[in-house]
Amino acid sequence: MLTFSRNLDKILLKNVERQLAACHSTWAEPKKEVKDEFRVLNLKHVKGQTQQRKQPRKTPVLPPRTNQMPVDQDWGSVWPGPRSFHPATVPLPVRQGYVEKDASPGKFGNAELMKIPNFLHLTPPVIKRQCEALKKFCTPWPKALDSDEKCEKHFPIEVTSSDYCHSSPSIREPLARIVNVQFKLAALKLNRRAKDKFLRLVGERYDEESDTVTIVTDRCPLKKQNYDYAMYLVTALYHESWNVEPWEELKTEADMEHYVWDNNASKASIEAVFAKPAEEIPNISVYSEAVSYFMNEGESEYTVSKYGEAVRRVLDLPLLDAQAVSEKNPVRSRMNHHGHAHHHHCEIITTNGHYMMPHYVLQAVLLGAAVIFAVLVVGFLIILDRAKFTNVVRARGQAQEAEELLVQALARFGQLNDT
Amino acid sequence: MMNIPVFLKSPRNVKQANYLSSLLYRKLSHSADVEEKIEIPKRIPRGPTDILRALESTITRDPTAAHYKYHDDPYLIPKSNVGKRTFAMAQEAGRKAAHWIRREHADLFNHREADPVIQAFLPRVVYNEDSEVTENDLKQTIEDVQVADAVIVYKALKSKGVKVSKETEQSLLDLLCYFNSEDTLSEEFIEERWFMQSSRSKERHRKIWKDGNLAEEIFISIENPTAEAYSTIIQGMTKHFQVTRAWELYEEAQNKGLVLSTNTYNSLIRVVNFLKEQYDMRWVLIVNLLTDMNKLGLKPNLATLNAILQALSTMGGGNAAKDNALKTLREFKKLGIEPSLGSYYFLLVTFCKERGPKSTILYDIMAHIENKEHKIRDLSDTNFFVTAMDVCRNHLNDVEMAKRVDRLLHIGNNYDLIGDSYKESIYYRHYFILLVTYVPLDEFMNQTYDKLVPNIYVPEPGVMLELLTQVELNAAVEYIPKLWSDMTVFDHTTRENLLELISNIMVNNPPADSELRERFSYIAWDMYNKIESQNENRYNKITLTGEMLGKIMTLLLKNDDFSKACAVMEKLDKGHSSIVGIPKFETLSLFVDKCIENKAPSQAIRCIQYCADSGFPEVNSLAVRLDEKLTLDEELLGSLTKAVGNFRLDNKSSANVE
Repeated sequence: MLTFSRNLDKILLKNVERQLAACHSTWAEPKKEVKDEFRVLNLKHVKGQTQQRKQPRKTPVLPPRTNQMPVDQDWGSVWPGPRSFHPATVPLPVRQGYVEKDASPGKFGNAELMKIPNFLHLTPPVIKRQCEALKKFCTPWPKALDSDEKCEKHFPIEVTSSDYCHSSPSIREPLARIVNVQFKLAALKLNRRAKDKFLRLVGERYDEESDTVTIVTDRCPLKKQNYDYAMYLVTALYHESWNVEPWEELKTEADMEHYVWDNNASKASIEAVFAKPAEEIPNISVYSEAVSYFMNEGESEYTVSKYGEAVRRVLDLPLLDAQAVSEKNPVRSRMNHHGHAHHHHCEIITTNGHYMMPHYVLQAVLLGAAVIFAVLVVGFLIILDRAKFTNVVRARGQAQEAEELLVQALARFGQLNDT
Repeated sequence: MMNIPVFLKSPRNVKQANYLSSLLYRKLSHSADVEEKIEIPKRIPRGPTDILRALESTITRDPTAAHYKYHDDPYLIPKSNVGKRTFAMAQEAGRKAAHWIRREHADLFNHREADPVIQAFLPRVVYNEDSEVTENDLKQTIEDVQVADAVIVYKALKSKGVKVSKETEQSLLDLLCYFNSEDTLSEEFIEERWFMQSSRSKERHRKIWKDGNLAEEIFISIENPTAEAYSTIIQGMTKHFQVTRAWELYEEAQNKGLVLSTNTYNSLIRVVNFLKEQYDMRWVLIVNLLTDMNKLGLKPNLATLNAILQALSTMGGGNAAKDNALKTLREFKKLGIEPSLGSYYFLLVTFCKERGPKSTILYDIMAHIENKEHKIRDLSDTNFFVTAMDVCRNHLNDVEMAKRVDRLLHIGNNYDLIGDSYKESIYYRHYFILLVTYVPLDEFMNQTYDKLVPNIYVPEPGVMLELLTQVELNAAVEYIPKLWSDMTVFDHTTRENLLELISNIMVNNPPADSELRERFSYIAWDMYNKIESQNENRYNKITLTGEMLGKIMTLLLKNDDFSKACAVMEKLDKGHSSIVGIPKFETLSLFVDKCIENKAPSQAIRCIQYCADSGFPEVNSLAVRLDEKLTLDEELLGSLTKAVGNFRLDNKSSANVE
């Protein structure tokens, strides 16, 4: 049985071989192959029966037209509009791209050159020519408007909007509806109150740095509508900021946006202390400033110490050492608070400004620095909060001291008055 | 301002005074500003495409570039006239295919991207006999010049018994008469129009009016047709050369006392040569028609003038026609009607007859129209330039005039009046042949040929023949390589006369420098290969003659291309029986010399054999030369003897005699 099947296999294989041979023989005579359309079973995936291909007729290709171009040709006519690069049209030996260990590839068959946008259609002579051609549509600039200031003065409002031009069947573009109106706040000539109100109304649309108000309108579907709306907004804002509502008169001290020393109890109490109008008290401006500063900026080491100093000045009390220094050179004194650590290094700096250190010093310093650094890190973490705290406490102490002094002084004044 | 003098009095206040004056000055200048009136100029009005047109005016034609309808790529620029046509029409075919798909699968294109809606993008309404239509649909189809649809809609309306208003019926009649009840090619297909019109002009004078078509039906169905209806139907019939019926209807209208329009009279005048046989009868008829117009108070127009001149141009070369043409022109000038280019075209046809005497009327015409931009005013205007150039070449033989005409063609948008591709190529054919014959060859090649060929004009084989003849006369062989490459590109290499001429030029004018010799050899080999590799089934194949092969071989040998020459020799030898003619003896002698140089005795012997077979009497001398220069072994000597007989004997005997 087994042998039989094997024989059968052999016969089959032989047949296949014979067929293959037959097929080979037909190759030589392609005409015959066309005649019998019997497709041979190709079991062994012998390479496909290569049909004799008709040789495609070679059509002559013109050389690139850059060869014919005269040197003095009119480039604007050769490349009149924007289009992607074409080597046969651009008579420049340009190269683009990167090849390891070789020059950059030339312009022919170079996709890199086609990817990048080119401005071959906007050469300087072409721009000049086109400007000449477009001049007939332009009107001269008004002579009276010869400077930016004048423009700003006569045309304070600047309106910006965009038009879009697509090569698509639709001429609509939603972004074209947006209108941007800008003007200087100074141009409105508001008084202080009205300006304050105006700023509250426009909120973040006002840029303090350039004194510019920017109003962007995009809620209406058309540009014209948005423009009208922007103009309406400007008008409404202007009139509203001049408008004084009855409830605005009810503004109390609690509604104030800033602490104003003149309106407050502090002024009354110091006048009471000195028993004369505030203007006549020496150094009162320093005191009022310090109080306003303290109230407006909030409580901090600096405001508190400044306040303490002001109190000493008003009451003509001796200044603290630090304060005395700060009077001479206030910036420096503040710097020293933070700059203490640097003092140690100053010793190592030699006269000519270079770091000059013997080896053993270096080793010791490195070792020491490492240890100190570790200790410092741990210590710093622990101290960090406390240090701040103690500073504030110290400042508070100063203030308290000052207050005690004040009480003492008051008592003294009382005695004086009595006598 | 008042304070200033006070301050200036005391010297210590000078500084302050300066400051104040500067402030004041600023103030003054500000007040001046306010007074200064700011005048913002008025916007210059412009149309939607004016900017584009202004930019376009900065661009001139780039002679190295193909027309912009083709892709700017060496592989895609058409090089021959056939190619130009094929490429453009292929594009158009693509456009048509898109239209077809759009029409067949209208349901697939329901997106409405365009805003505002573009009517051309919307699917066409499909009408049939049963569709629900109103008169408005009919109006719309007439408006859109959809003749077939208009017919269907009209029939549908009739079958439903809807009454169509008089005006609509009249406009439908206008449409049907103008287009002879046939759908017309859409205006969108510019290329087809550009390449088609030449074939249309051939069937110009044949009756194409469809008798008994819908237009006639409508006309008959109208009770008491108005003068307008008569005018329309008569114009339609004359336009499509149903002249006898048109004349009948004209007489009918005359009898009814209807006043027909001027254009109707114009159309009748135009076909006057179909109505009357003799020239003088025709003229009488024209005069009668014009008198009728005068009686009715109809004012003639430009079309009347052109119709009269057209009729006159068909009246032979007699003096009567010429006189009448000039008289007509004068009369119309008095009426204030300026002739168009079409009128001048008819004048040229009338005056410059092939067999008639020479007429210099073109000079007078040019005086009127030169250096002006012309707009199309009459359909015949497009014939002017081609005819004027024809007159320049065939009638006047005047190069200067041809250049003037060409200059006029390139002023402004005058090139629009060139007509179509056929007229354009005829125009340039005349221009080229005239220039190549009368202008120095160098000037012609540099100023005309290089600028116009191949992008604007591809010379036809006839023009190329003329050009090659001039090259031969001038012995200007330096142009041969360029012309050959152009001929290859333009597909002229299958013209036997051209190949013969160019090979003659190359053989008869042996170049001095080696580079040109090399180019010639290359051309010869190229020629040989082109002829050899022709398609077997080609209709009119070129067969290589012996002379031709001889010339090719000479050119190859001159450049020492020995192996290639051997191939040609082999071809000669093998095809001895089939090749017509034999090369010159000098060529074969040269070949033997080169064989000796290259030490190829067997090739030489084969050549000598060929000479002997061809019956050259000088063959012995070749054999002697070969024997002298090369030492031949026994075998070769044997075959040499076999070829020419015992040449040594002859030679010796001749020596003895001496």
